[in-house]
Amino acid sequence: MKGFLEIKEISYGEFPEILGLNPRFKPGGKKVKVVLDVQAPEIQKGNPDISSIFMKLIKLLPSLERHQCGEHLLEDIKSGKKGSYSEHSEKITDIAHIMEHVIIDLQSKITGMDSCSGITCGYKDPYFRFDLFVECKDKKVGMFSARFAADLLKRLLTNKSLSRRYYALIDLAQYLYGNNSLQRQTKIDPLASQISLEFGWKKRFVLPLLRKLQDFGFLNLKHSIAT
Amino acid sequence: MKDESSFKNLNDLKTKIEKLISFQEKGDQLKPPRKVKDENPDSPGLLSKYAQVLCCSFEKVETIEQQTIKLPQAIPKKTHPKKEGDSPGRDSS
Repeated sequence: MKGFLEIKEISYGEFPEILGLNPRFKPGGKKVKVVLDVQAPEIQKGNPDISSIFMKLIKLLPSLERHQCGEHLLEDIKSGKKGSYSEHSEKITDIAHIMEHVIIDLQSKITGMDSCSGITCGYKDPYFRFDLFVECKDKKVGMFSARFAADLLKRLLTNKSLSRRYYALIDLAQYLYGNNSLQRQTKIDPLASQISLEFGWKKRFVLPLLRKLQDFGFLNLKHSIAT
Repeated sequence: MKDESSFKNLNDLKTKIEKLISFQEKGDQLKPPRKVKDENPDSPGLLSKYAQVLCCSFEKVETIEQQTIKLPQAIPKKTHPKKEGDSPGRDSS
């Protein structure tokens, strides 16, 4: 496994077989499914605990605090109950579950969804594998959110901070989602120039963001790697 | 409206459960593993591969600042023919 998280598979569909698992799932609604392997960092001094990871995530995605969670995960983290772990399996479950919340929040932020529900299903075997199902309005945004969430958590699990680029990437995805003509743009250079003008960012700041959006499946740029 | 009231009930229930859990934890250092919530009647056996299922959701709660109040379209004022002697300063159209 590369890092602490690895997406084994992402797919998109209705998945009617899991509809009954969350009463808030909308019948007939599409979902993004992520098969995820999780490995938790060792519980030792210097390694991040779930509370510190969550606090960093809240800075990036403040609406995470307003999620409803059947397992009281978020409340427990905020109240400090989740500061330390007695069980390794509990820790990896919480990491997978937080990833589901991050996917929900990213999608809601980018597409403006009024509500979004999901489930985290932990396998019996292997115990570190999870299926995440999250309601999804737009396939591209669902795929992007899953990959971006994994990237974010990988970074936080290795105790790294979130740079300005992460904040900018969300703003940019949100902006592009609302702008079909820019989304259809396939040439990176004119797109970067236009965004640079719009946001007042330097082009050399915009280009890596666009490449990241390309890597995460949000954009379909040609010749994007050149430059 | 139905959703709001069910959330209210849910919150009450959550508070009660939290109290029970904290009481239980005092004398129970080894927590039992979280279990699969329920079997899906539409596809029994689906959950056999899962050890647990955790649910969550996000509902946008509009704050007062976020609310946009749509005002009805301005009704075009009826134009009254000016009467002789009306001063230009009193014309409200």
